[in-house]
Parts: sequence; structure tokens; C-alpha cells
Amino acid sequence: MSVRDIIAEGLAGGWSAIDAATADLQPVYEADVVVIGTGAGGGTTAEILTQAGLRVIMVEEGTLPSLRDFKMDELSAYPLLYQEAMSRTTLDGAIAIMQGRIVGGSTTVNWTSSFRTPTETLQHWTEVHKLKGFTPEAMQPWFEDREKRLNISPWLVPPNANNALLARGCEKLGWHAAVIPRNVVGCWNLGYCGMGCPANAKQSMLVTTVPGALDRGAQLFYNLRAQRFHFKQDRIDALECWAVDPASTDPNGRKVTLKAPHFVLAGSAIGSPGLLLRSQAPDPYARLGKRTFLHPVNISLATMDEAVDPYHGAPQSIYSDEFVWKYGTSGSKMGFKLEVPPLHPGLAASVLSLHGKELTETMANLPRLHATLALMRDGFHDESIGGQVVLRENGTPALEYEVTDYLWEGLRDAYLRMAEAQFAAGAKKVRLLHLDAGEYQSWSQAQAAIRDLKMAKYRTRLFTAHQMGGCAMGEDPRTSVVNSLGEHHQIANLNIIDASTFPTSIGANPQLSIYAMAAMQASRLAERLNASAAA
Amino acid sequence: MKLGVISTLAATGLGTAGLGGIAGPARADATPGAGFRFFTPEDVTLLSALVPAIMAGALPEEPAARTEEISALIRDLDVGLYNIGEANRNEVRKLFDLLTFAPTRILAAGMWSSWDKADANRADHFLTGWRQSWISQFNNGYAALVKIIALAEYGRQGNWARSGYAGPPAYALEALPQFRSTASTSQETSA
Repeated sequence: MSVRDIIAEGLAGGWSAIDAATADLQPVYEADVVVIGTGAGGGTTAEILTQAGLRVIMVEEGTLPSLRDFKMDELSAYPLLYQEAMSRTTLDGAIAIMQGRIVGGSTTVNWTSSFRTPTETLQHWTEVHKLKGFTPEAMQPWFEDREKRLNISPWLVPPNANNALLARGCEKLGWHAAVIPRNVVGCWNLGYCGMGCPANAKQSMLVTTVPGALDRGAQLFYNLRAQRFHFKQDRIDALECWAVDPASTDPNGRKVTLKAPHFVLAGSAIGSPGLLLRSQAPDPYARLGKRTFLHPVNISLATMDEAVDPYHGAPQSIYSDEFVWKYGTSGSKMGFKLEVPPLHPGLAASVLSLHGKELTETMANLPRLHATLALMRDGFHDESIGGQVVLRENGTPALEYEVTDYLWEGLRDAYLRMAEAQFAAGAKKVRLLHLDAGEYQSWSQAQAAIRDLKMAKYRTRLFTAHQMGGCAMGEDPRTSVVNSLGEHHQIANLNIIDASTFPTSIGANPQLSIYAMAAMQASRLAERLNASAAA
Repeated sequence: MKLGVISTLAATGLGTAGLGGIAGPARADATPGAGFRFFTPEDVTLLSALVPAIMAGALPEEPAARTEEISALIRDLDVGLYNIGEANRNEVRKLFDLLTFAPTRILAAGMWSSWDKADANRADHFLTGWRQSWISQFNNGYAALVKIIALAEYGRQGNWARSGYAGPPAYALEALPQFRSTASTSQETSA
């Protein structure tokens, strides 16, 4: 198989990709559409609009990496590729937020899991949130379209040991387990997806739709933060952008203005509400930045007799949906999806929340560690209203997210089930990522201890890799920010096309949900803009 | 400067939030030490006391190698923390100020003498105290300190062997164009 540096080739071939941190900039650039963000939503949208003949400018706050930046090394990768150099958390520090900050957004650093939006989620959106065009039947062609574009199919290679242990535990207990579909072409099965694919095998936006748009003449500005919309009546007149120093992520004093008849915001569940809040955008019903969901994650570690090498091999290839809908879509207990995270030494050491001999001994045992994670399905119940995006003093967005009792009990249930599956798979010891949890030697010991575990902020170590909501879709402007096509209720020339428009979390890793929604909404937008140009 | 006023004062980054109530605003006059972009000399003294306690049993025994590793780690952290963005830097500044300014050091960390007099046992006692504290913000501060130090230590290539991690497979390093010193990354390569 061949490995090409798609970015280096494209730049050599004449792409219009401008490093705003260093290039000589004109004061104003114009296009038919400005797309803000190059992740799952923005990348997909930019390519589709470009294919429809529209002149597109893409704006990305992160930098443009190439193959030579993907060195399978944690310490160089995390600061370059993640928001706030991998130090982003909720405002109170209780939940670590893993989110991409690079061309391609989180798709450049995700673990490739590609699920269709669950039928239950689409039905809930249709029935409770009154979305139009989101029935499973209506969405099916869009899932198929994106699966084809990004080569999404179940992973046929045997799972690595870390994933195989999840399958074994589920099998022993009679629980559901299945193979994860992945968006890869010629994957080397190395295990470094989270540090940027070193073989350009992952079909992220960085190597698919963003190049697709650039090949057709779209223009990309990177190291450029969309700072503020300027409005004229109910329309965006211009977008003020600030260049940022790629290392410190602080503004470096350069500014540029982007103008277009239409704008698409795809800056993520934190960035999109953040830009609109900074811009003091119309928000008559105070919906902006509300109902942000995270799939809050808790983690259980198991010590095995055999080698697991949890850093090698495709990081996610097995999942269990045994508990995700078990208690009903809006059930009295929160549902969760079970998967595994890879454990590279830096990340593993940083999430253990241990010090001294306990840290040293646990880390010395890394090759025999297996980890399970639970993705909590937040946003489907009255006691799960999610978080809220707010602005910090310097105007950058941050997220407040309170963990409710409903979520705490869901997390306890997830700890129990993860430990149960790990002992069923042959674990010798189980340790939860929780400050009060010691090492459990048996399922019965774990069961008793977890029942009494104090579920409290900071003591329960929580993470999120999936940020959703904050600019919710809906047909009623009193309860939503955009309609089912992503058109802003109050701003005439703005669509929001990213995970921020999800009315709830997804209940599965969200990338394919974003791709399919974006493909549908961008196609409709292209028709609308071309029709109005022809009129 | 009362424990009772530990508040929900807005704060973020590295999970240091809520310490603002006792830590006060970030000092505008915090001056980095010579050769540093972020750390003050007091920060360096603090870290020199905490790192051996966090990394107990993992650092080299030989004094010169041990000192060199701690120094290298502090230099790495200095660059890393400089690069996390202004808002986060302010929060980390508050955490370090809290632990190095004598009145708050005594109040929040129970450290009556300065960090240069703290041996590994004393530093471990402080860390355990913050880990077990009923004050949740100290739990948060503990997790933040351990997080940045453990990530920088275990993530460094020279330390991979401590966790039994051999690094990326040799065949991948040989075959991938970005690891070939002579090959241009724009050339197509077969593997």
C-alpha cells in the first residue's frame, strides 16, 4: 500500500491554503459562502457547496498539518492537534474535554468509530423535538452517501486484545457485542489514530472533503479564528477574523475581514455558540449555548494475566449496546454505550489520578492493562438538560456542565457493568478511575464497593470526546436556534451545520451523524443559493 | 483568604477551577525565572519538591541523572504551559501562586516551611492530603498537578520503557515516509 502526503502534494499543486499567522493578508476577502470550521460539519459542507459551483472560503482556527506532523508521539501531537493543547476542561475542571483543533477538526484525531445515528435517537428527535426530515427512512440515503464517500464499513481485521476483552466479557455474560464500522482505507492497524493517522488511512476531513474542496478552487485560511460577526439588520454583513499564533493559540495581532452573501457556521458545540455569543447575535428566547451534551465518559481499568498492549492496534473495533436503550429512550436510568479507549503511556498516566508508588507500579504494568469506557447518553430525560456555553473574560468560550443525580446514578450503573464485564473476561484486578476506588479482586467485592461509592465532582474522573448541542435544531424558534435545515431562525444568511445543532446527544460516536446531516443540509443549501442566484 | 469563600469563581484549564476563591486573581507581576517562559523561581522550587513524590520509584537513583531528569521535565512543562492559551495560563498561575505564596501555602497545603525544605515524604503527605481532602477543589488541584507531571514524564520517549511500552512498531517507522530522513514527504512511497 502506498502512503502519500496528500497535503504536501496539494500545496505543491496550487491549493489556495493561506497561513493567516504569517502570510501577507489583504484586508478583505470575498466569496459566495464562508464556511467556519473544517471538521465533520464544515469539511462536508465545503466540499458539497464547492461541487455545486459555489466559491467557498474555509476558515480554521487550528493549523494545517501534513504527514510529517503525524509521528505517533503523544507529546508533540497533543498540543498541536487538540483544543487548548489538550488541557480543555469544563469551566469547573470536572470533565476533561478532548476536542480537535486542526484542519479536519476532531475527525483528524478521532478513533474512527462510524455509527449511523441510532433509530431511537432519530425517532426521539422527530417525536419530541419535532424535527422534519430526520426519520430513519429520510436519513438512510444520506448515511449511505457518506459511508461511500468515507469508505465506512465494519472492521474485518481481528480486534486488538483490548477490544477482544470487551467482546469476551460481553459474550460470557450474554450481552450484545458487535464490530465497529470504521472510516479507513488501507489502515495499518497501528493504534495512533488519536495522534493523527500516520498513514493517511483514516478518511478524516483533512484528507477527504477539505482536499476535495481545495481541488475545486475553494480557499482555506488556517491559524485564523472567526472572532465576531458584524450584522446589518437580520443579516451578517462581515466576519471579523483574528490570526492566532499556532503554538500559543493566542491572537498575534493580525486581522482580516471575510464577506459573503451567506455564512455556514461549523465551529463545534463549544465554538459555534461561542462565536454567536461573542457577536451578540440575536437570541430572543435565550436558547443560544443551552443544552450542550457530552456523552460523559467514565472508565474502568482491568489488570489481566496476559499481555494486552493497549496502545497497539485499531483503538476501537468492538462495542456493546447492551445498555444503551435497555431502560427506554427516556428511561428512569440513563443508557450508555460500552467501548474501549487506547492507553498510550502519557495519556494513561495523566488520567489515573495517582501519584507515588501507586502510579509507578500501575504504569509499570501498562502492557497488561485493559480499559473499558461508558458513553453516557445524555439529553433524553428531563433530568438531563446538559450544559451551557459561556464566555471567559478574554472572549474565548467555555462550558458549564453540572452532573445531575440522574447522571451520577447512570455513571454508577456503568461502573458496575464495566467491572462485571472485566471480571467475566478474566480480569485479576479492577480499578475504577475514581479517587475513592481501590483495587477490587473479585466481582463480588467490586459490586459491594461500587454500590457504596461516593459519586462526586472531581472524585469521579470524567471525560468527553463528543461535544453536541448548544444551537439546537427545531421548528419552534422559542425552543431552538436553527430549523431542521440548519437555517438560523433570526439571521437570514446563516446556516449552522455541525454537532451543535443536535437536540440531544446521539447515543453513539457522532461523526457519521454529523456527516450525514451535513450532507443533507449542505445539499439543500446549495440548491437554495443556486436558485436565488439564478432568480 | 478564607477557606469558607472557596467559590465557584470562574476558572478553567487543567482542572484548577474553584481554587480562585482562596488563590485570588492571577498575579500580573509573576516574573518568569531566567531561562523560563512561565515558571517563576518559586514554581521551580515547588516542582522540584513535587516531582520526586509523584514519580516515586520511577526516577533514576543516581543523583546527577535524577536532577537532570527533573530539570528536563520542568523545562518541558514550562514550554507546555506557556502554550495552553491565555485563559488557562492564568488559572495555572493561580494554582502555583496558591502553593508558593507563604500564607496560602500554609492555609491550603498545610506546608509551614518552604518547599525547598520539603523532602519526598512531606511532599507525598501534601499530595495525599489534597487527594483525600473534603474540600473538592483540592481534589481538583491534586488531579491537575498529577495530570501535567505524569503526562510529561510518561509521554517522553526516553521514559517509555518504564511502562513497558516499546513505541511504534519498527516496521512502521521504516516504511512510513515521514520517518525517513532522506525521503521527501511529498514523494510516494511503497510499503
